[in-house]
Amino acid sequence: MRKFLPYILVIFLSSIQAKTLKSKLPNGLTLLITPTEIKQLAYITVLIKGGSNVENNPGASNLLMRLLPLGTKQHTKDEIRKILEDNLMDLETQTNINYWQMNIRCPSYSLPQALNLLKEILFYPLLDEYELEKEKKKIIAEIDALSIEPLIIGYARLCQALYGLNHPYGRPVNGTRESVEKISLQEIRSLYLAFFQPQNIIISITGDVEPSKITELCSELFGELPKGENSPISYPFYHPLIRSHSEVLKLDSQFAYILIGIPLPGINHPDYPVLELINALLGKGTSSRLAKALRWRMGISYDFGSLYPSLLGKSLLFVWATVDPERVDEAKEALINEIASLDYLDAKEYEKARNKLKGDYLLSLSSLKKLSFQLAFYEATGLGYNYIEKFPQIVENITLWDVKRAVRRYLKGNLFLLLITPSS
Amino acid sequence: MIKRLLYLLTLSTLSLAFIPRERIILNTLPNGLRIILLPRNELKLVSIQLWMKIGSINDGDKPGLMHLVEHMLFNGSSKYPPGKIDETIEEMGGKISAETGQDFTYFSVDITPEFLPQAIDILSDLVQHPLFPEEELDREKRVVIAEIKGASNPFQEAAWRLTHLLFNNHPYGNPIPGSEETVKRITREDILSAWQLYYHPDKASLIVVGEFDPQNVIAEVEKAFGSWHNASLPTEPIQEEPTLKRILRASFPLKVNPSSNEVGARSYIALGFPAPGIDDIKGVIALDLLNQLIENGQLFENLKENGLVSEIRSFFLTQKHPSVFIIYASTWKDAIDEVEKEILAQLLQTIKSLDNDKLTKLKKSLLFSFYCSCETYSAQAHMLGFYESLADFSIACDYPGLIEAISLDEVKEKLAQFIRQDAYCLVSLIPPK
Repeated sequence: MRKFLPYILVIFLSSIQAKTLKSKLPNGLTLLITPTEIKQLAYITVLIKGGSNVENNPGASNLLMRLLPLGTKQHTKDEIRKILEDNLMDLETQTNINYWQMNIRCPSYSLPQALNLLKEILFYPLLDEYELEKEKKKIIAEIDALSIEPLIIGYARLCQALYGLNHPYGRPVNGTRESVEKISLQEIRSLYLAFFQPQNIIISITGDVEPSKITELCSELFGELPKGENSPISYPFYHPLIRSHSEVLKLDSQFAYILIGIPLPGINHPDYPVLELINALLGKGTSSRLAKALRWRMGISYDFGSLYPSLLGKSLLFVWATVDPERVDEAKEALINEIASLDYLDAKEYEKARNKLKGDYLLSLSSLKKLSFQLAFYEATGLGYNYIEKFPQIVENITLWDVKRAVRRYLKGNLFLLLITPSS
Repeated sequence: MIKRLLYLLTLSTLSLAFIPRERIILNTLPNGLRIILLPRNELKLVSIQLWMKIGSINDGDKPGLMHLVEHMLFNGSSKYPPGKIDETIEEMGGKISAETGQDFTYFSVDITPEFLPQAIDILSDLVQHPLFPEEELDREKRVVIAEIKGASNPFQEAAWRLTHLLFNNHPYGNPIPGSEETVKRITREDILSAWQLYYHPDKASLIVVGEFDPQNVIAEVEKAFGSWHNASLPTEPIQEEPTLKRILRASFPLKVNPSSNEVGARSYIALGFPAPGIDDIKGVIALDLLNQLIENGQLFENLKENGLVSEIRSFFLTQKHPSVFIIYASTWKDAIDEVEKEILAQLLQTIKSLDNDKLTKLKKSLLFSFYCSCETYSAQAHMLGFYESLADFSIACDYPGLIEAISLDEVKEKLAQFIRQDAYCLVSLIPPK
């Protein structure tokens, strides 16, 4: 066991009054263990770097993740379900643009069983043809069900327009009906072999856990795996928008939808926290600029907001509003004006936006699920798990000048505007 | 034997109090407001919740009234004009929400500790000095009517039809938000009278969980709520519904179209069994255990495998007065009789065959669900407020111990009392041809 001994680092996270113990096994697998005062529960988040960004055929990454818990070398799908039931474990999987994610929630006494199962699912999956075909059918049905949602259709079109069809960020994570149909088992297995390597994996465990015991158990379980070959992950070139442009899409819907996309830097850029703040100011909650304009002042929309996805490489600002088709021009003008006037900001409004962002962030960390994910996510992005502690401090240090500078640098340029209007 | 011993050991480890009673500080203001404080210091956060022992049960002949009062309380108070209550909390980095139940109404703020005094002040102004502006009432009614329309799905429709049939006289028979017709009829005067009649400190409890200094919080609460005049008038006692002693069946045309692709062909059924209120805590725990068993998917599996039902679930909420335990399923019109028979047979067989091993496993599963529902400060405050509104906050602390203490005989006896093949109600929603 000694040969798998990890190096260990302990950092105290004062905003959550917890100590995170980070260890890196000799094979490169990263462990983050954070005991909290929440009793009886434990939460495991596993992030595997890669995600839909590394696939050739849209939807292949998602399909791979869906297949993982459907049978391993030792256990059938039903046996896995029985283990989960008997040990009161909940397991969920997810595929994102930059990573695959697996979560297990369990009573803390079931943690050893959960980690054993996790090892099997991650490193000894069956990935068989029968389940592949069944899962494809399910995914296609899900894609079909979503293909009637105007905002989902609009967001997909917006990503295509901003990133280009050849960029993985421009394609839907679930894939399309056509792309999913042609995914082969061989493709799934190649993707698995290339990225499910210990050095690409971060396991974050939070809750009622004993760090030294869990580190020892994880070293024993995961330490024996070979290091494997590291597949480099790249972020393909992304053409900047050379001019603003707009499109109109007619759909069978009752309302009209206005969607705006503006290219922004990703999470590793020094301006990321400032852009998070601008996003909070513009479109988060009932005190946002959009709420004040569209809901309170004009009374033309109750469904609106903005989103700044935490992506590696390049991200975007997504702004939307659902409106009465007759008032679409007014709403469009208001949205564009609100974005353009974000640098007209006084110290009081800026202070409130900063409080909102910090408060939202801290509130989100009160659940084990989010805490566990956030630690793993910052580690996976290269910011380091202790960014969880740095982030509120960085937000505190953002100045009014930083905000104005970022607005002028990123939000006064070109944008893509999509109008979805009822076909009738 | 060893396996059994291990189970018992883990069970007793699990039942360590999650909401520690010994850390709770209790105080009552002279006007009757109960203050329940649980200081915790793991997170720099605090949850403040004001729970009122009033809900749709107090609607009288105006279904939806207390729910609309709760909505209107957000539409301006003496210090905060319409729209400013949410905005002020949000600008301090917090979140505010509210909910009306049958037996309770609560207002909740989650925020960082530095803004705790302001949050207490906002909650106090919201309930004590509302403006109820006439011009906001029409807008709010539209919001509520949109909520009513948007929330409808066949299971909910079946459940409401069922409670309406079971509770002829008791106000549990009315839907919490009312209906489009009843909401439209509510006037500003109705709202004002309901608020004057029910919003008094002797019907309220303020729960605070998180990082704070208890003495400071008590001083802040006294400052904000101390002048809340207690002019509570005695209200009419609610007559309990007579216990159901026969089988009731009713069928209705399916009105709501869920978004699923398979809509149209399916029928929906809801089976309701009389259930105990909070006064019969052992009965409540027994039905919580049965609910857990069904929700774990360990019952009725063959109905799904045979294609007789596509979804089958149960619902049981602890309430102040005797209520109802519901099993609902989506099925086919021709299969309704068979599904009804099968559900009854399996329930009775499960109760009969329940043994200590099965009960121990079930208890563990229920305990885990309970702990998961107490994870955050907000959830712990909710749990304390919920039980305080029904009876006493201490049930939230004692619940794990109560699960552990109930015996196999007690569970069987209680389940046999409520799950009977000669006293239940069946509602079916049949799609039009």
